[in-house]
Amino acid sequence: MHYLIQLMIEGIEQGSIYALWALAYALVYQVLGLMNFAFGDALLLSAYLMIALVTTSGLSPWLALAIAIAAAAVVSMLIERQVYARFIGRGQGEAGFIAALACAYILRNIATVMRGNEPQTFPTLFNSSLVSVAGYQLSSGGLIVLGLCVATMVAFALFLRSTKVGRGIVLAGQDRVAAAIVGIPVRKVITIVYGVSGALGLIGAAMFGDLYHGLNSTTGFYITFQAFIAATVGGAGSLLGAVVGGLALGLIESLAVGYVSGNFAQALAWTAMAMIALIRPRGLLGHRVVERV
Amino acid sequence: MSGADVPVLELERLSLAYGETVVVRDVSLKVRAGEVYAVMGPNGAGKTTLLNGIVGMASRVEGRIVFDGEPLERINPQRAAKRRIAYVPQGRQLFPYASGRMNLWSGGYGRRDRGRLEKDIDDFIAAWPVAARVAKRNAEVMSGGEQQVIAIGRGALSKPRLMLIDEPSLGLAPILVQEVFKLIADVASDASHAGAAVVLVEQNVEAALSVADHVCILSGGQVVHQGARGDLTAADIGDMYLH
Ligand SMILES: Nc1ncnc2c1ncn2[C@@H]1O[C@H](COP(=O)(O)OP(=O)(O)O)[C@@H](O)[C@H]1O
Ligand SMILES: [Mg+2]
Repeated sequence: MHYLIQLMIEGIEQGSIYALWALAYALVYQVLGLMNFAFGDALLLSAYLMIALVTTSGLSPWLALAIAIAAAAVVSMLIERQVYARFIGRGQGEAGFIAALACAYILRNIATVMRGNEPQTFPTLFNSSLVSVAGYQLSSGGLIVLGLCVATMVAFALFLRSTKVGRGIVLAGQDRVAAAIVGIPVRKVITIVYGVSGALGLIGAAMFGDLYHGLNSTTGFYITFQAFIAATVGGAGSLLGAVVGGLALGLIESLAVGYVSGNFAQALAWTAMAMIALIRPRGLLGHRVVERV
Repeated sequence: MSGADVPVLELERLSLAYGETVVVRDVSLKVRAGEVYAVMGPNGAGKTTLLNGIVGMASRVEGRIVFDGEPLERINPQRAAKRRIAYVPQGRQLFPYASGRMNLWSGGYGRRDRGRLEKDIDDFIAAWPVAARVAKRNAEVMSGGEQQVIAIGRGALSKPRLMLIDEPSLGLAPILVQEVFKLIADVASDASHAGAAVVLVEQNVEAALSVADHVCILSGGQVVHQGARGDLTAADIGDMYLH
């Protein structure tokens, strides 16, 4: 029992990062119905920029993080404006999908040209140590990651709920024609959504890099698929569902590592997620919970 | 600001198309602030297209749309909203997973005096019991009549110069039809902002005549009758539908 709870706490820490990715990913899906398969590689490139700023330019990790957040937002917005908009506007969904995959590789290649193919050590954001809470050995870094991810999601929920732009995003996601009719600048909102998605995702990527002390050139695809799976299983189109899906994925992974083997954790977790999707085809949370504002 | 004698909306020999297909031909009409112009006619006559054309959702192939004394060029729904043209489309097109109150709020999205918006929403909810009943309910679970009150309210909260309403009585219980038409009359005469010009597409002839100042009947995309309300009885209009 003690061991189980220990694993679950670690799973939730891990899951809070996936939840942030899934939320960022689902946001784009909800407003556009577009699978943004360049999502993770836009984050990878920005995270590599952060690494370069710290290791070669000697910036403080936190300043570099702030710049990387802005970079992730800008890269995501550029992809939307310069690439996706050209396909979506013409109703060419499949071609847009291929373009997204091509974008992913282009971004990854830019990252590797910048930093090489070797795994990258990630700058330390928090000095982690083991702390003992009620008999459990927990890493302080993991708890801070959990806290920051939760704080980011709460801030984002408040943004959607209470600001004019946030409400515009939610409403445009529900009905674009209705949004245009009431004067919501749908085109601008879409670009903002990409920017916000990149910024949220990068916070998650930095937490991930900090927790594992490193990233490599395949981390982008990994992020995209973790986000895609968590968002889909949680309930495609539901933001709260994406968060729930991310936490579920983290929990399952942690239990798989603890009771089976680290080698099979990923395979087991994705298989389990596929089975959940089979049982609940509309997602853990159906379609209509979060969109209420 | 234009005086009351300048029409808010003037259509001059307007023809509209979807792609290559011309659907509305040669329609002219004028609506002033505080007036309701009812457009009637059978299904497929081009009524919805006429409203779509005013906000740029159907393309203008000939003629002019003059709004507040200036021709409307390169219009789209978003620019129309900015010019304070409120569109209450057929089927109402509310935000399905947003509450009644949030749907009302969305109508004020483009308003400059947004500081007053919350109070205006409160006033609207206080004035219309149907709106109060569904203020917290998502649009997707509202009845047709409740949706219609919120949809017109959403338009009204933009403080429109011009409101375009498409078939508001469609699928409504008779009691709510009355309520909805009271609301339409109220929007037209709203003293708080000099009233709105209303173009009302409606097949319920009696309900339409209860609020209309002018009437036109479209058939096959063309005007077959046009005039002041008093010119025709409901029975006359019924006959025209048949031809
Ligand atoms: N989006 C569209 N594209 C092409 N034709 C359309 C479109 N919408 C309506 N039409 C056609 O235009 C004509 C008028 O339709 P509409 O304006 O909806 O009529 P009404 O509102 O009077 O019932 C019909 O023949 C209809 O088939
Ligand atoms: Mg129609």
